[in-house]
Amino acid sequence: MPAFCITFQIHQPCQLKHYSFFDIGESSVYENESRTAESLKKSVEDLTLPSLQILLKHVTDYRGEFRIAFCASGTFLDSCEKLQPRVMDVLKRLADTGCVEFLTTPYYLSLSSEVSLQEFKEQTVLHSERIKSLFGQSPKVFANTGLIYNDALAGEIETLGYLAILAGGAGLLADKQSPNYVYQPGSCTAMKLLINQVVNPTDPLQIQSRGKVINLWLNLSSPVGTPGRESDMLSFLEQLPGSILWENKGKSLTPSQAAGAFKSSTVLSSPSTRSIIPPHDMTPWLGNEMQKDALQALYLVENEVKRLHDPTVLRTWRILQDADHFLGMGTRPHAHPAINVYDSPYDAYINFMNILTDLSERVEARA
Amino acid sequence: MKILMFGWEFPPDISGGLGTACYEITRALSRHEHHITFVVPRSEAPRGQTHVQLVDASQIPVPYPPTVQEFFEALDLKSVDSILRPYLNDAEYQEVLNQVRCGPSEHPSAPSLVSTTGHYGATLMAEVARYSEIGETLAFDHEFDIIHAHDWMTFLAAIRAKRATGKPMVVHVHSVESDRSGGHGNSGIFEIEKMGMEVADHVIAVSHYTRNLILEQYGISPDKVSVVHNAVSRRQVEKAYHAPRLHSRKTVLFLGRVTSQKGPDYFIEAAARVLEKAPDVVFVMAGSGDMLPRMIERVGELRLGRHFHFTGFLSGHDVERMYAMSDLYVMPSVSEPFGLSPLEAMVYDVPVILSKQAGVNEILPDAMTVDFWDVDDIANKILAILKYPALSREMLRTSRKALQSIRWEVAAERIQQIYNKLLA
Repeated sequence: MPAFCITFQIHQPCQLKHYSFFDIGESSVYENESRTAESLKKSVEDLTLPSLQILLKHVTDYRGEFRIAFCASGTFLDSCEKLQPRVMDVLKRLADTGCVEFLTTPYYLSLSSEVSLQEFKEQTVLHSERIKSLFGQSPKVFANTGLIYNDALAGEIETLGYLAILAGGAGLLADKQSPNYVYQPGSCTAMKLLINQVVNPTDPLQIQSRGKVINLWLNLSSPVGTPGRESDMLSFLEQLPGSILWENKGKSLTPSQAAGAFKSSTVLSSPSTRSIIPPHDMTPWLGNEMQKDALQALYLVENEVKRLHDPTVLRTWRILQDADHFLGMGTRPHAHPAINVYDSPYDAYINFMNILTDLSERVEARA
Repeated sequence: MKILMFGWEFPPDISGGLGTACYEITRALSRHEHHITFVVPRSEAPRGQTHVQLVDASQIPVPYPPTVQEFFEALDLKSVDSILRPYLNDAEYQEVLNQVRCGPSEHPSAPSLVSTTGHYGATLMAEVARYSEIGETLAFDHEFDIIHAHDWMTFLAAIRAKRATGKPMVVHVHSVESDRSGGHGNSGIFEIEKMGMEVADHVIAVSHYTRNLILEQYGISPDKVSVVHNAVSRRQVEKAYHAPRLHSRKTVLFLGRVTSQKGPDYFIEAAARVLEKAPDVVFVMAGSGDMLPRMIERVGELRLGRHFHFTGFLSGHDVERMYAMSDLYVMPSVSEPFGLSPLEAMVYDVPVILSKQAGVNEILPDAMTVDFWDVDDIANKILAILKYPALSREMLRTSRKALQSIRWEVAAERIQQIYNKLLA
């Protein structure tokens, strides 16, 4: 029976304020803090906190038999530290069990790996340091935003000293290849590649189970607009160790344990970019003209923003990098309704561009 | 199948979407080997802005090239001498009537089905009642299997044709009185609409929005009300792509009747907001209607005259040119049962902002929509479209995709199914 390696992703974006064209030059407040706090509170209370409590109980009860990993964005950790300290307490207690691994992800869950290697590395380092100071462990495994992955990126991650990187299987694996082996990225010499499957809590048996290690990817943040999903997830989590450890006689590993326990079965090469969100490439974030334009415009001001050495401006610019803003601009057939807090993708784009126009003008004025 | 169809207007002289819809529906139906007798009112009134002139089938000019000859052979266009014209209210009727009585009468009169020339009704209602006589006349003179009537003015004529022959009758509702009047409609018109829908064997609504009004305001049984959305023609689509922009300044267009139903006042208020931020934008209000004088005054009050053009009523090539010159089309309608013109604007690669109240949204799920009263939001969106080119690129991509499946053939197919059910 293969081993199980389960990673939980947690994130809540900062919500942007309704920002009209007429606000450009008038207001430099971009974030709707009360809405950010509200959606964080709802997500934490409905899903994240009860999930973490269930997981903490399992990890404690099973004394080393049940191990899990977390990939929590810096945005989420910052918000929780300020607004939901109970979450931080449980996460710290989970870290203290010694059975929980924290992964590195771009701090602001950005798409920086696609646009600016410099910014991508800065956010990766920033996140890794934050995890070290919060939980006392240096991350050894990297998971990009949306598990965005390609050979070049894997090469960069290896040079940063990571043992393994996570990716989704679609587009990477050949027809008969199983996701449940440890692979070697095309561009790497030592770093391992773990192929993850998304679990549907209402239909967990859909996962492929042949192989050495089953890597599962679960989201512990409640997306807007899908009521009822939370209770499915909670009952799935309640039964999780029972189903994987007893019924399947499997064992449970963290990603770095899995990377250490198995040799690479073969090299998997992926020059083109893949992701975990269907259609498993960049189209959910960059499938249309608005998304591409907004992303390009955002990184055009990178150098000017950084030259100011103003932490407030830098944070503001980084909040805008959140991949969820780009998901919200998706048009059919790649619209992502669960994420959209706007009436339409056009509203999402217009709001974002108005804010970015104001920010750019302010930054240029100070340059 | 032989269809007796009652309409209000027919190309090339049309004042609104109804004429276009009738033309395209009959054209698509004729492909299925149906023979259509199409009846429209005509008068000898001098040709004016809202004038409807009936054109003999052989004289249909330029916009409809020879390829449609076969269609016109299948279509029997009948004129009925009447000064009825679309979207008329009683006061406007009196005006037209006076014009006709005082105006020159040297127009050669075409053979008319009902010889009542010179005896137009004293009021709109009297004229509608007089017009309905043709229903009976036609019923005796022509052979047909089904009766199809477009909007209220023709309903009484259709009812008389049905009573005379017992043939099934379909009424096609392009708008209802509350749409046109903003809620306080003419009760006589309401009664005619209600009677037409009640007597009809089936009712076609141009949108779910209109269907709901028919169920709620007229109490018609849901079983006999179907939705058939309007469409846009392929000929236009092929011809119009990449029409050159003629204007170097960004041009924002309002095109439609200048009546409270269409929200021209919101267009002007939004324009004023836009011009605060982008003084180089040009606004065009194309169309005529009872609110036009007030709108011109308002533009004056706001001192926006040099940014505003009022073209009056446009038809034929001028409409096409107007679309081709525009960078953005805005339809801030207070009430819009369907709204064909946004589809036409899209054909010309013009991005459109639509009122959330428009029935056409039902077939344009990717449309950019606004609340007609939210002037700031309309202005915000106009500015965004003019300033962020990626936005119009994306809107055009989605609208081209939508246009591919919005076809009159689909509408005709649905109508044919309704006919078949009634005749089975």
